[in-house]
Amino acid sequence: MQTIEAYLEEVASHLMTDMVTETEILREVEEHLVEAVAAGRAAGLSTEEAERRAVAQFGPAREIAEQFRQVHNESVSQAVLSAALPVLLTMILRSAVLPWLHSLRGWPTGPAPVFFTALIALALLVPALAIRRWRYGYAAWAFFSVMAILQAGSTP
Amino acid sequence: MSPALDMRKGSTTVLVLTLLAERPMYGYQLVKELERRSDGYFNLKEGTLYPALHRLEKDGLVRSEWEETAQGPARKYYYLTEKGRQALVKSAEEWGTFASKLLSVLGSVS
Repeated sequence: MQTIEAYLEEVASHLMTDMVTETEILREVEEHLVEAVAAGRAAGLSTEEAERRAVAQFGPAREIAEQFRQVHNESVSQAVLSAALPVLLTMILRSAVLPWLHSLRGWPTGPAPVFFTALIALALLVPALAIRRWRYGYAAWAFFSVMAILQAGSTP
Repeated sequence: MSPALDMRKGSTTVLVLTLLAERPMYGYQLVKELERRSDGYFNLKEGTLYPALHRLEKDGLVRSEWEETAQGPARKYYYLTEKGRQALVKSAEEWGTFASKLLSVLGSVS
């Protein structure tokens, strides 16, 4: 099933959706190809030929993935929001949560709380990964994350 | 892209909805049924059907359900919704009008 696996991987690499959607799409595509291969073999083709034909009849991986993307990745504003999520969360952290923590225990200002803040920010950023992997999502996420951490690290 | 291919792509929705109005089907089944009934005329790249089905589902015209099979991988069956049924009626009417008007204009070409 090497041809099928390679094909599925190629589709996956161009999908740019979240993991749940990606898994579901690939599962459906694989089922189709499995059946197409079985039909090819029943018609007398070798496994290799059947796989090649199934993949060829399905269509170019990149093109099909592009069509899936258009259906599942429509909301640009949603993608921008998920990329901006880190800085939003950190701003809330800095302006609301930290002062509250300070007032609770009179934490000394210094490197420790800064480091702690950065860790919290990172922990909060992880969910952002689960949100749609927009084409520039990772770059935007990284940019906003760095900004967020720098923000958290600077003295209020 | 040839005009014929363009036309065929535009009709995917109404064709799929028509088949699903008869009974729920999964992707591969839809592809083969479409091919069979049109004597191979409607045989677009098979993969293009799936984004189309997902689009229909997003628009609420169909819904899907995974079903385990006795042997082999699970299949994603598509069911026509009420909204889909109404869209089908409207679409079939529109295509009927389109076809008859087009043919009457063509008929006037010697």
